[in-house]
Amino acid sequence: MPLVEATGLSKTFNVSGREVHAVSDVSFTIGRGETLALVGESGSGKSTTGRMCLHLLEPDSGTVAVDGRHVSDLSGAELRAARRNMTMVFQEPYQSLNPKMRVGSTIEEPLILHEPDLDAAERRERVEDILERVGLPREYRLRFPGELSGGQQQRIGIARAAITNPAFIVLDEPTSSLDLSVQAQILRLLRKLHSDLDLAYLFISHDLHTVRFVSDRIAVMHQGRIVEHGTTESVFTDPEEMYTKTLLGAALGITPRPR
Amino acid sequence: MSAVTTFLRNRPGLGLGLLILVVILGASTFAPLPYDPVATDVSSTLKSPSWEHVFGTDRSGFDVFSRTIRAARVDLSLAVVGTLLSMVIGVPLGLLASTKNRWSDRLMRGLDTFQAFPLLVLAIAIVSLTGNNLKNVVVAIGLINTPRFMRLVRADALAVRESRYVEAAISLGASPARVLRRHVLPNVSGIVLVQATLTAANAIVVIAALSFVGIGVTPPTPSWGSMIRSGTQNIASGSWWISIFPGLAVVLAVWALNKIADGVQAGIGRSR
Amino acid sequence: MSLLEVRDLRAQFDLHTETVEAVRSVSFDVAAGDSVGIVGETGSGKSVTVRSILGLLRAPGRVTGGTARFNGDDLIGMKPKALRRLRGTEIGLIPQNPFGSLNPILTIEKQFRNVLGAHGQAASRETVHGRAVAVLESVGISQAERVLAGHAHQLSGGMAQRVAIAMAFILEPRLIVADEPTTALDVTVQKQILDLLADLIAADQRSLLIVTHDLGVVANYCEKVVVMYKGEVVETGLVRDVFVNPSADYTRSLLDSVPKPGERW
Repeated sequence: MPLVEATGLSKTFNVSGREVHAVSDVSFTIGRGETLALVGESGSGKSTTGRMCLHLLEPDSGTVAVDGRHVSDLSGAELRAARRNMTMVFQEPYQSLNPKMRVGSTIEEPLILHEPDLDAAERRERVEDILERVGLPREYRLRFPGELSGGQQQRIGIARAAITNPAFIVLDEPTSSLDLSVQAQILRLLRKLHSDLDLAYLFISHDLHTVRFVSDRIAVMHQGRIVEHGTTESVFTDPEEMYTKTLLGAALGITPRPR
Repeated sequence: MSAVTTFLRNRPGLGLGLLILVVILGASTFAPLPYDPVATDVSSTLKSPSWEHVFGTDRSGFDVFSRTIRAARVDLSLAVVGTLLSMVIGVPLGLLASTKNRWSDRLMRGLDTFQAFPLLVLAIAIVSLTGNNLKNVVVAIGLINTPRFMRLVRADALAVRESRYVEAAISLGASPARVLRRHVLPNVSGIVLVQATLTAANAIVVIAALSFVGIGVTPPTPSWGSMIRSGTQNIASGSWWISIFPGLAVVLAVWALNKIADGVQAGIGRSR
Repeated sequence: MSLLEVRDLRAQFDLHTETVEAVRSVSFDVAAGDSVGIVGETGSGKSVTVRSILGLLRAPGRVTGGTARFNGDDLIGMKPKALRRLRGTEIGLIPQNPFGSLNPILTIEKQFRNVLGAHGQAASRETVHGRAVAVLESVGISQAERVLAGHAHQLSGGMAQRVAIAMAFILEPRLIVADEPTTALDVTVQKQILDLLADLIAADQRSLLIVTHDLGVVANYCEKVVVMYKGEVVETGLVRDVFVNPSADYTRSLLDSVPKPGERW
């Protein structure tokens, strides 16, 4: 049975009087330990879909099941408890960290919420362990986010999302706001965690190159719908849809073209 | 420590404001005064400023200088306690009002009605109704300033709620109460501090106005407002010093607090 | 002699607590007909370099040394009036965010009139209108009349950038400077805009200076590259040489960080 099962997700927003169908009838599955990439340009609905998977947004229709439970039915304390198993990494690293909280407090918050039996010393150890795992010095738990670089901030975000050993992480454009050289480092880190912790990823991105590097399967979104999906290789080497082909053609490689 | 000194060095206004405030408070609490502020000396009434009486004396023979300094203790502490009261009530209510539900709308609507009254009139009314003592002055100051804090906190909290780190906290499973306590409140506190100093500055003026009309601080306890009032009768006959010096003291205290507020505001502006 | 010769350019930011050297001795050339890409990550100083050259660097930043000769005349220290004239007629600017440079209140046509008028070329309404329509069509906007009558907020990101490009081109400058012209745009629109830019440049042998963090943009649209890191130029050369056989370590690590096709987890 797949770890994540999204069925018929739809969401409509009301933007200054107009109805915008951000997501229309989107369905997909993600197996345990698998990475599904959701690719699309701005307005494709990919971020909205990602948030509906975690029930951060209420779908207008459709369901999401994670690890057998219907997340879309949960609310209140039950939903909050379920969040131990499914977390999110955000696009803008600095914005996603509370500027007034030290790194250690930010990372240990999931432990306070979901493993209340741990005492402060045990939490501290877990925080230091995960800091090491994401490639940061243990002392960084005393720092404030503003003192760190973008790449380091994103590592904190990843640490926070991984500390409870969830089965499923939604990554919303995790490297788009970072410098090129840092992007590669973060992708490598994500790969390492993926295998070490047997994680399933929903990797949301607008960049096809990145996606080819990280995903097992790809779903291409355009104006709220999935227009193509398949294994990474098949989407890249044998795209069926016009839009996918346009997207592939527009992606700029770094092989110099003679002019 | 060096971060604090750099901070202060870059903002001379803030440093000066703090210094003046500390000096005033310190002097009024600890400094030995040349004369007992509540002792009259019938032999030297209405004396103009001289070496003996730096600010002169008033009708009853009180030394104006000593009383001006001592009045700081009363006026400033009333202002501060009143401000704290309005913070203690206003900030939590403001946070609650920032949550989206029926109650918050009703609360804000009630607030509109309350704020429709001119604040000074309201303060006078409250004190007149409840009795003329210091405690009620503090309560009055507290009540009339609560709406200000509520609105400010609510507006800022609404903005903070839209931020990505609040969404992150929710995504981790934090309860709404925890989000308010751990994420919204700490990020709203900067603005609250600025507002507090401004409110205290305003409160000094209100207290002076109240004691000017005879409400609040009663003689012989010195208060800037009552001193100004007692001096008004003598201005026409040329004894200007009785009102002017306490008046200057009010201006100075308010200026100092405003400078502190500016400095704090610039400080938080930077870190945002 | 090159169209633009930058020699030993230096610029710094005077902050409360410290002085940051944003540009340290930067030198490069743009010859007539060249397309040059300045590439670097955040903090490399690439944007500050270009702003310094064009006299657009605001306090607390300031140019502290070096020359930037455009057709022999040093832009550094040039009188503001002369610089402004040059910036419209000889050097065209394409901004990162078109909505930032388009006035939200005026109609598009009025803004064209202002641009032409500032350089004494707004003789009559008909002339202005005619030229505006022509230049909008040349950037691929088929509904030129409608766009001219409308306002900036009615345009999509791609359309707004086309309008910004049209405004940059209308005075027929010889050098086009584009600061991250496609960063704010979707991938598909990005390619269209860059193709358009390339066509316009080639048609009249103009020169192009693009500032970007995107190696793909440089690889596909520039002949020459200037690689910047922490305020310094670490490598310059032809794209086809540098991208295949970089000599600087930084360049090599930059190229390596782009995931290659076929490379997987």
